[in-house]
Amino acid sequence: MSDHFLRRATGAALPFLIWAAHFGFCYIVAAAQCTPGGWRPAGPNPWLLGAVTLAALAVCAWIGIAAHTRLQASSRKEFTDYVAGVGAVLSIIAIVWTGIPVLLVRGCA
Amino acid sequence: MTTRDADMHDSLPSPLPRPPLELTRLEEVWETPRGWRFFKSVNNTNIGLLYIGTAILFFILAGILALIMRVQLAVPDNDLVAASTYNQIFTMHGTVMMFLFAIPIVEAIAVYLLPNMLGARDLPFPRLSAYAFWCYAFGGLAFFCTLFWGLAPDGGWFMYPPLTGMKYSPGLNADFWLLGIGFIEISAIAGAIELIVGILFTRAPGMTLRRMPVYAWAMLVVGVMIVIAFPAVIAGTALLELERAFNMPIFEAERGGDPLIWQHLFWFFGHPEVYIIFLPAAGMISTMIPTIAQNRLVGRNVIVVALVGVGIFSFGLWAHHMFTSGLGTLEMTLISAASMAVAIPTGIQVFGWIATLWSGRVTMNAPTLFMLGFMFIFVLGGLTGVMVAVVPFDWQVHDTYFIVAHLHYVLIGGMVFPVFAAIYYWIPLINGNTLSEKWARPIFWLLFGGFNISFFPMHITGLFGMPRRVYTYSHEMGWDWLNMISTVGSFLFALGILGMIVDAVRTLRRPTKEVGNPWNAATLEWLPSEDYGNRSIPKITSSDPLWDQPTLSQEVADARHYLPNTATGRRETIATSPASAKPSYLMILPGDSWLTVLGAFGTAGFFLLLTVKAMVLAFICGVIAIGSIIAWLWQSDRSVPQREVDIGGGITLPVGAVGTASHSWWGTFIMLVVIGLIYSSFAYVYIHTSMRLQICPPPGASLPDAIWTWLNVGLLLGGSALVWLSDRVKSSLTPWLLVAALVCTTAAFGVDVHGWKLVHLDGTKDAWSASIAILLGFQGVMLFVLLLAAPYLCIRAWRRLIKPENRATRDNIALIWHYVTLQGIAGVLVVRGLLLVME
Repeated sequence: MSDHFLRRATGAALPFLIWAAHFGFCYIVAAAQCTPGGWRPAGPNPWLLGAVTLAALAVCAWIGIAAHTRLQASSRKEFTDYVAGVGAVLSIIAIVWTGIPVLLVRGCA
Repeated sequence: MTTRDADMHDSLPSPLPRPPLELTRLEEVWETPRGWRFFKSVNNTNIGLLYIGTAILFFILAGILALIMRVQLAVPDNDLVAASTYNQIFTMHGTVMMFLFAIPIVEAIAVYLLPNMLGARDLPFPRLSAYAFWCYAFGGLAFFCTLFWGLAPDGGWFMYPPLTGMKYSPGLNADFWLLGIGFIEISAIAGAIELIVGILFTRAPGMTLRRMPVYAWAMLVVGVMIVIAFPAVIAGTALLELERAFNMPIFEAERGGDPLIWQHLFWFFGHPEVYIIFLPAAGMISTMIPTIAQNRLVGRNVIVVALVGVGIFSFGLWAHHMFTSGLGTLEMTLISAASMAVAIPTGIQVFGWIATLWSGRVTMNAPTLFMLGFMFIFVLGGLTGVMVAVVPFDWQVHDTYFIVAHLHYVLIGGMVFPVFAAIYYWIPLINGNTLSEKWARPIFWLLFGGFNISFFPMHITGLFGMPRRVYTYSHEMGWDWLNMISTVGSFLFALGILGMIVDAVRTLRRPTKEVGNPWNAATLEWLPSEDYGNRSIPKITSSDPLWDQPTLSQEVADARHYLPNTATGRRETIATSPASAKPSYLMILPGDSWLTVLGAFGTAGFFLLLTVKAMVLAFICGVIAIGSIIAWLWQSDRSVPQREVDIGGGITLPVGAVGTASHSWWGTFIMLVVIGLIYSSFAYVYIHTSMRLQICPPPGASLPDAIWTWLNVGLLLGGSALVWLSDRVKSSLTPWLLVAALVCTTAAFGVDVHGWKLVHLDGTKDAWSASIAILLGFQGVMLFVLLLAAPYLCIRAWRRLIKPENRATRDNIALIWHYVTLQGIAGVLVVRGLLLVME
């Protein structure tokens, strides 16, 4: 595509994609560690999931700050930066929200 | 693009007089056939009207089924309808409403509105739209008629196995659902491809992403959601049909299968589906509210981001339909949290609408009434949605009438009321007449009142314990009066629908008059428009163009903007760059054809006759379908005498584009994403069944020797390499290299099958073996596609139809080929890699 649409669209949607990756990873680990094929006696590993949650939050925060900085610095406001910035805020809320169960829930059943 | 003028904006509107016969030629090229030939029309505006009409027909039919159910439930111990008939009626009501009304009508309205709203003459693949519509119309009507023969599906609209497996549903009823709905979903995907590529490629020059109408944003998000969500249910329906027809036990617990696989696949589609029908409605609301309030949309940019957010978050909610199925605690809690998180971007939109109304000057007309009705009902549905996202509450009300109430508040409130508002708002586009404001008020109150009288009591009926889908109940349960109230409400609602239909028919029969801009709207669909769309394609400088460019309408009608003619003597529109909407090439569009109708007839016939096991007739229909599609493709990707054309405004554009710059390449790419996700769903089934085993592979099963795998991978890569090479040698050698590539890819599949045969893979033995057989079979299906595509490409090469400027066919088939290679290698990695990880 002539104006790097795919790259720009992916950059703008990146916070949401990070939320999706975080959510998918947590769900898959929770499911896998409670089935015979990937059994973990104590249930899903909270340290692993907690670390991934913090990493996802950090990346979203970084994307949001970077987008905000670009919007402040440039006279020509890129819509994709705006989407990335607001998307980062929404994604951080959603990751915190889906991260709370990781802190609170133990075991499989 | 070459620009003679450094700043193309300055040269528009063009002051030059237009040639005398220009308009006549434009009208001839785009003329809609009259009489019965109208049905061969492929223009999206015409197809959109047929599509909307057919969807409304299904809404009425499914509504009649709902009334029959309400009469049956009005009093206790009623015997108006037998239990088995009632099962078919509620299954058909849900199925028809969701698959034949809700999804089609949102796509239909988009197909009708978007070309004009984007300022395009038409979307890029009008024949694909026509084919999708006719598949839906033929297939949907035949599917509905099964009800009259007692053959309608009866397992509920989400068709859970094991109830729908061969053991408990031995008749053809379930097969009609699986094959009928399975292929109708293909038409939804075809529509999504048209919408995505259309929105990205055919926006008016200057309509950047920021200026794009919010409705177009909503449909872009929805198109992507369809592409991601629908493959899961297509895979699910294929798996259940394979289990029923060929005894492949994917969902059978006794042989290592798991009925929950169906639930995961179905709801991975089914929950985003709710948003697939809500987001277009939200987009319509965001388009209508600024007009109604004569005020710019408050928080427009945030609303656009919220649309994207809702679209993505909605994929994390599928399992909240499965809280009582025995999922792990953490999985349920994650899903519960995501279900609440999605309320935030949804709430942003609602507050944006309220703020726009609050700060504007609202005219209390028919669209306004229906939009206010939507907000009231949808917010209530959303609140009960948050309630059922709380796991312990869901356990109490699961499969009760509380859920029936909730889902109707969400679906009727979130989608049907906005569609009614949209009908009132956009119906003047058809013949210039508006629906009666006098009639609108009683109609609205019948619909709004009838809806709430019918569905609000169901919350209480559910809390009193009435399960959904029961065909009757005893007086002792104490549900009589609540059910009677619901029945009365449903008839009031039906009366409102009847009034609306009568008014619509009256309005459409009135003489045509000039459309104008009756609501003083800001979007481009209110520009003067004919069969060819706008007289000239407008240059946009604002997100509310008709408000900020007050002379635009006259300038466009006076042919003073871009492409005021047919530059090549064929149907065409301007392709613009996806982000910044700069003119990039002239897109040639196909003309009207019966081939799309014939192809759809063949496709529908193939699937439906396959269901009743009329194999010979099904085969004939399959040949008709494939033949029609090949004939239709044969006419495409042809040269025109002009290599470059002047579109006005000092801009000269190339005719057509190649490679990734071409809309055709992106259409193929999206189709391959769909296919890849279907394959991923099958791969998920393999992983799911493997993970549930104590020992994997299960006793008696094993992987083939590695030599067969390496040989398979080597031959696949060899095939792709030959295809790559075929584009870089003398054109006379191209067909021979393609033949060699086909031999390689076919041999790869043969080697793979041989390897599995040596270890006695038996797809009927257990679910693990079945999942591998299905992965293998799907690779075979893709090989079949190449067996058709490669000779087709060779013949085109021999006929010298592949040229530097006409290489879309070649590029697309190469893309498919490389995908098949990638799919084969991915299959090897998944099957072998998982076992390594599990060790």
